[in-house]
Amino acid sequence: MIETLAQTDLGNLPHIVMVCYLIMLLTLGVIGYLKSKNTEEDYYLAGRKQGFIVSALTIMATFFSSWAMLGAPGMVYRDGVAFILFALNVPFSGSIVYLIGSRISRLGRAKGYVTPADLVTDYYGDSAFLRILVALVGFLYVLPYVVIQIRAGGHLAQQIFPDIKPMNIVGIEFNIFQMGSSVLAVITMLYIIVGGMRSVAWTDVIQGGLLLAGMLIAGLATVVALGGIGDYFNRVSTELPKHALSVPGTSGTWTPWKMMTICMFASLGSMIQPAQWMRYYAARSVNALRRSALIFAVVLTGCFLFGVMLVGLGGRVLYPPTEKVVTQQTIGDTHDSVELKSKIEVTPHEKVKRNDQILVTVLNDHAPKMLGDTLAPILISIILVAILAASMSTADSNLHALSGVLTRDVYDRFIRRDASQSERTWVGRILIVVVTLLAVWLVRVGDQNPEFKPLKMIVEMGLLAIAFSTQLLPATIDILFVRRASRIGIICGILAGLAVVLMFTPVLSMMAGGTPGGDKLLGHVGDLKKLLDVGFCGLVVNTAVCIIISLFTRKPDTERKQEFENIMRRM
Amino acid sequence: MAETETKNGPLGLMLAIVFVIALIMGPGIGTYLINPDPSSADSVYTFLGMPIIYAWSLVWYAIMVTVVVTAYVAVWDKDEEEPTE
Repeated sequence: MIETLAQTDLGNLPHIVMVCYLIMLLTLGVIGYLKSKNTEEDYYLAGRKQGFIVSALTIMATFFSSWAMLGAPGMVYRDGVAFILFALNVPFSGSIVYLIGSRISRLGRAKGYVTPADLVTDYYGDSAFLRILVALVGFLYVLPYVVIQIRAGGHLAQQIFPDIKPMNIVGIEFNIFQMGSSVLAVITMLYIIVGGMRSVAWTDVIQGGLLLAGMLIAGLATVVALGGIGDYFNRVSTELPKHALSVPGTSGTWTPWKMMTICMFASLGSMIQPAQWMRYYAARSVNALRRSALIFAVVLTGCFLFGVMLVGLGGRVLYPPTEKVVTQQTIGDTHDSVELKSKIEVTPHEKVKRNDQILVTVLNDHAPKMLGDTLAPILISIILVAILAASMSTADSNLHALSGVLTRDVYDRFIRRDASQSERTWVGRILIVVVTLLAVWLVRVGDQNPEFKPLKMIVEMGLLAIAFSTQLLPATIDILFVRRASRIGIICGILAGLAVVLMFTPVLSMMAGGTPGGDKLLGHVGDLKKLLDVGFCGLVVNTAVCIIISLFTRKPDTERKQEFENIMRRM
Repeated sequence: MAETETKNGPLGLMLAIVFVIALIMGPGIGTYLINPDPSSADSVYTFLGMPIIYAWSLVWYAIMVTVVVTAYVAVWDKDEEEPTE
């Protein structure tokens, strides 16, 4: 991932900075523990007392993973300026923090909710099936994210410490990838176990700050590397090929319809996933979320547009990729016809090796020239820690949320209804250990055996995690704004939406591949995926099913609707 | 934006409409209006010296930020008393 950085002589500075950073995280974990009470509300929601700075930064840090630092500039490097439009999903996501988050927060405080399923089942009537279904939607989002981020820690260690030989620890051999992923997972696990939401949020503040700084510094470094803002845009406009300066981009991926549905519906999906939902409950007041929304919409979008996105565009000038037109045969609408489609395949410059390495390649080559031999290692060390911070801030929030969902929605409801507050928090802590060890094991086995199917499947599911989360949107909008759907309608809608999203995973090809009808269906699904956001496709079916079934089934009674409306109207 | 019904309805509704238009125009189908066609020799690729798609994204970012800031100041409620720790 960051191979080029390993070639720079940075001395021990990155190692020292990283160790200091990890010690600081553990210290925040201990401080969080000292301020905590042994109750479920305190462990999962920090006593619902988060102010706006903590809320804003923890929501932002949860929102983006290492993808923001590496994947986004990599996409611009591959596809050109078309992908920059993706940054416009961020103001919408920021607005959702207030528009949806403030209502969820108000209901949560009034009625003592901890997880998304608490709210949904309280409104539609306490149904075990609905609770499990909502928990499952959260689980499908959260688990792949935890595994993918832990794996990213392994890749990072692999590049920073390339010379470290495999070590034998308690009879088990660990290579540097396995050590890196294990260390990231264990440190994250420790500060979540010790301090709960308070520690997660405080570490997110540090991690969010590092990320924002890293995004802006990287953009600035690229502009300076190309001779300043005038020369930067002059060279980008004159040296990039025409298709890299237009929509849908070099690979043809980012059509306006696809980009629009992603910006609208993937944003919504990612802002109602369990970790964000619990952050709305944890906010001290609606005012804290109102301020958080403003900071999120304005600052984070700016960091994308004026920071990290410029890296990909400038990187394309500095390290032009190789482009090759390839022609593919596809089955036409009538089964016996064949269509020829051509597309451009992009191979990264030999110095870049992979698209998502463009940021570190630019920094590695140009930071020393810009800043000299003293400041450059400091800058690169900050960027390295920012990349690590991006992984950890996503992993910690999701791990913590997963523990909340499993404890509250499964253990408390179906295993021990009369468990004490203390018992619940300890069960939550044990679950964090179990899930972390499971994730570390999956990543370790996956490293030893690249064909290990469970890990491959989880990574594939991770690509559609937001699409799964989006299926909770009709229920969320109905409870907060509309209040016309029935429980059965919501259940059937979610099931239908999840089924549609599953068609975009390898599940469909496993079930239907190889048959003429199946292959044709796979072809149509592939075409749809190119045209629209996957979550949106599921959402259309989900909403339609929900509306139709709700017409004929019993809705929550008027008193319940009035009660919810009154709580939200007090805003 | 249902809060706007009780506080600043018409402004809230107007801001919501502008924001939706910005989402359709900015990253969405509005890009067809300015998108240069690589197969045409007359296509314009820059605006004020920068790639036109980038300039387009900055324009809609500015509009979205204006909407959010206006909503923050004039529409979004803050009438809740903050509890003290």
